[in-house]
Amino acid sequence: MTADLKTGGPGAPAPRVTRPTPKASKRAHRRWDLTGILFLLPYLLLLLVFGLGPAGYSVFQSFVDERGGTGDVGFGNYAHVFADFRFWPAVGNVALYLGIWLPIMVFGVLVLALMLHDRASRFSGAMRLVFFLPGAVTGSASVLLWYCMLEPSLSPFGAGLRAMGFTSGNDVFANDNLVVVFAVIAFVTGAGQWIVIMYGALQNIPDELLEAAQLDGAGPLRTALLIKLPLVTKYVLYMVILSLANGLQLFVEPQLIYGITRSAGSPWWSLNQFGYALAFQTGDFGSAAVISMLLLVLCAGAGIVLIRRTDFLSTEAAR
Amino acid sequence: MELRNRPRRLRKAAALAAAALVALTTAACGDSAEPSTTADDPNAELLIWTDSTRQAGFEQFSKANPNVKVKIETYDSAALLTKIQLFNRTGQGWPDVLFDAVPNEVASLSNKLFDYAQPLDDLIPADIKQGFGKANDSCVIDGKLYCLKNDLAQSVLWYDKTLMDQFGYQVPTTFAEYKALGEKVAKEHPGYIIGTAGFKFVYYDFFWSSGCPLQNVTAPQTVHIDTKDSKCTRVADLLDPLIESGVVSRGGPFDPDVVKLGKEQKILMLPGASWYGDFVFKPESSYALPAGRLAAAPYPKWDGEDKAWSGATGGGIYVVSKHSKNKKGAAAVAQWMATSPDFQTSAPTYPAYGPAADAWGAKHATDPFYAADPIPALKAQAALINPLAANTAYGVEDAINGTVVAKVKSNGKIADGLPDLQTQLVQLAQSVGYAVS
Repeated sequence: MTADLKTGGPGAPAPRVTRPTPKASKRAHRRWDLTGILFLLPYLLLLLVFGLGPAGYSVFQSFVDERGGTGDVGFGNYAHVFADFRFWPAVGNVALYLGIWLPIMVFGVLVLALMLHDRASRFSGAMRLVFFLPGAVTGSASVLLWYCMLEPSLSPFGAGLRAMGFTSGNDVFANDNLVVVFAVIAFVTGAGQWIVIMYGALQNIPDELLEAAQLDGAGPLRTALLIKLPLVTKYVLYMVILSLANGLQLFVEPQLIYGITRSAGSPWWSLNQFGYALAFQTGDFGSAAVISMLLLVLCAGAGIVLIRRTDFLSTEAAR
Repeated sequence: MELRNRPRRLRKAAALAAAALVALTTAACGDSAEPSTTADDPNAELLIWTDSTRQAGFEQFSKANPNVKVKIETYDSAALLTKIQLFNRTGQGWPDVLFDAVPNEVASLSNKLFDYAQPLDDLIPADIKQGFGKANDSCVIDGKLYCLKNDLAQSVLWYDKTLMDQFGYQVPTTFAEYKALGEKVAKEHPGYIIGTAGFKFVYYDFFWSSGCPLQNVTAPQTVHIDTKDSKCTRVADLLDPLIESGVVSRGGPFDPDVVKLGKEQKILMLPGASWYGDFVFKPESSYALPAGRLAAAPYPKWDGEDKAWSGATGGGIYVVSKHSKNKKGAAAVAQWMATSPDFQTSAPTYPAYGPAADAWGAKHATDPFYAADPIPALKAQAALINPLAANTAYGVEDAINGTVVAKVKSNGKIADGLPDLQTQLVQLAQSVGYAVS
């Protein structure tokens, strides 16, 4: 920008408004591009090799029918997957899981973050750590931990579980309860980090604003709902998009719980598990790629809708 | 000028690099799994994959044959087929010799899709093959021998002799007697059990022995599946009332509540595999039954059958890789493991190889843990594993879990799980290329 300003230097006959000419602005953009690209390059390379490359390969695979050994190109794999007895139950399971977990996640995280922010004290600092801690045990370890907590014969809360009518692991890990069990595991392990992120977002709200609200007579509830919440919607959206992608790919929880109990769920309880079984148990990579495509389309579609419906990508400067 | 050109050049370079990377990635993922046609190299190192139980045996082999170069690794059984698929895609990495605790997988390992198992017909001497009797029959697929059995898991009727004597009961010899005795136990000694149905083993212990066609291979790539067959429905007819009255548990033999019954010595009878004695009843961590109580009887006979057929809950196999550079060496390792008296006599489970089984039996006959010598029953049933069930490229366990076992666990009936079992198995079979009749 400074270079452009100099073009209207002291030798100029009349002081002009220093609006950059279209040409100059183009050059400035180009220089920004170069630096930007340099910074982006490592990410783009990784994205290409581990993201776009495999995704492209998967698109290709999903249209090649290797089952009959013919290598026919077409929609054979898609028809095969949609007709499979394992497909629709898996869709139903994942949809139900998302239906239960996503609202709990969004609501729970927001309530806890707003509460933490409202009473900033040493106590709230400690609570942030407490909320974050379960998230430190992630993935397979957390599933095992939760299995031990929910199996009445192993659990330190065994007496409580039995009092609630769960006398054996069979009662807890019954097929009807699985969605709720997975939602609980996912919420407890996942909420902590989002609470911290959401708390960080709330910290960005200028104090004057909150003070003004207070002077105008807004109580804590009104401030939270009408001032704070609208200012962090972008973060909420970000959380919803990432959580949706995460939830659609549900794999570790059902896979491990089935591996341990050998009766709760199945090796194709979730979509991702079904894809895994197709690829590696029956060697049908084409049909597995169809599942990947489906997840990709659902994730990308939901992401695009959410982003376009809001001002997610707009920046301060563009407003 | 200089400044303006740079981004374009950069972009070009980036595009080139990207193209190269894509090419590299796709090349690495391409199908390059062609079996090598080069001659055998007797000095090539053999990569051995085993479970931890068989590891000691392979180490014993290595000690006895120091000139054979081997590398012994344990692997995750659940990921075996996954790994083979990945090796097929990268064209390297296959183990030369494989111990597989899931015998059904030989059907996948030998088919076109996995393309891993080497036919052993010419690599194993005829007299050795004869020594196995019928034990290796399940390794024969489309007329070729693809594996050697390590052990047999024939079902026998385990019973608590002390309890049976105390209650004044006779050991049943048919399933009709078994059912009648169960009804009696329910009335006279509630709380005691005579079997379990809430685990995938219900397939091996009951459906397989009954001859229910779930894996009935009638021709190459053709199976007969029919859960409406009377040999399937009679299993439901037998078990459903017994489950209802509580003498057959809705749990499985390893579920905490059944283990608790075992520890309380409330298991009167348990139809189960040959390895239940040493691995389910004996261990401290399991039922911890005191010595001198347990005995094995021949399996009960189903009505109308001329023989008392067993099922088979496992029975590990040795498979040799068709990609091995040293197939003869690999086959020799598999043969040693399956037949050598050095290893098999003291092996943990009932050996499949006849002479080894005799030596193993002689050693176990006098085990004070058993109230009576279990070997006669084990030996009789070893020859009676129902041949109607064959190894198939689809597994039955997961479908059994999702249907029959799920019903049992949720207070339902086995009979109500059979229609779903039919649908699932037919689709599973078709999805791996079988024609279903």
